Amino acid sequence: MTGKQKVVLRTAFSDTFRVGDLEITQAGTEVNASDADALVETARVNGVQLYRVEEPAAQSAAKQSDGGGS
Amino acid sequence: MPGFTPTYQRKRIMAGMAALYLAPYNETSPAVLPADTVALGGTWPASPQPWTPIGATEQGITMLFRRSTQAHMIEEQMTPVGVETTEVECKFEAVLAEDTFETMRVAFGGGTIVTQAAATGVIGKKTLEISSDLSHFALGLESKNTYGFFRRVLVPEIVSIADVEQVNRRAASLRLYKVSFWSLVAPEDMDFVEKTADALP
Repeated sequence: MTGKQKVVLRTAFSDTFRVGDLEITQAGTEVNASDADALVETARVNGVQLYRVEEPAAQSAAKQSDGGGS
Repeated sequence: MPGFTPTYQRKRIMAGMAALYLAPYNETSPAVLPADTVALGGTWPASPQPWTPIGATEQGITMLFRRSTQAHMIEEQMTPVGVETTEVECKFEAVLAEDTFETMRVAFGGGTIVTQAAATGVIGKKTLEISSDLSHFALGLESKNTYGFFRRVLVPEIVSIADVEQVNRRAASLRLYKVSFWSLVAPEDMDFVEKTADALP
């Protein structure tokens, strides 16, 4: 796996959290893994709970084994 | 003459609070209860749908289960020959005490909150848009059972039907939001699960 690791953050309901130009929605927004903790804390300070979207274990394993396809 | 006391087990008599959580309703990827390995009071899962606690309440959570029936009588028998269920009402009620937009959204039946984080020269701001249509949620409840472990309830789909009277007074009253969550699923589709013993080594 090359490049920066990404994580997906989402809001709980049909809510939107905006910080600068970044908008995090219920559908999920991909951010750099290194920024995720700071974003979650910024959201908490502003009264918003953000959640990390976790991939199902099987899907994650398939991606690591052959880079895609099944 | 010996006294008479009916048989009972004191440790089965319980009082105690319950924690109530809401999650977005999603038909294709529904919210699930925590894994069996998650202890009482542990973190509820964030996927496939994230659970959010409803916060402080004035007098805890009340679970209501009302069954309306139709009794069938015949002339020849004084007791009913049959009793059928006509309606089942399953509700979870509380008076929410945290005065936030999140509480208002749940109390008013649904809506959308947009939060703008504070930045240089820009205030932090939230806007709430209440929806005309009811939002659907999933409901989870957790309490302590007679074994000292978790008891969890999952209602896959509920709506919030409330009669909100928010009182704004100087000191005599808190701002409170009365909510009633109505189950939209059949009784068979509600999950009740409790832990009775730890796993063996």
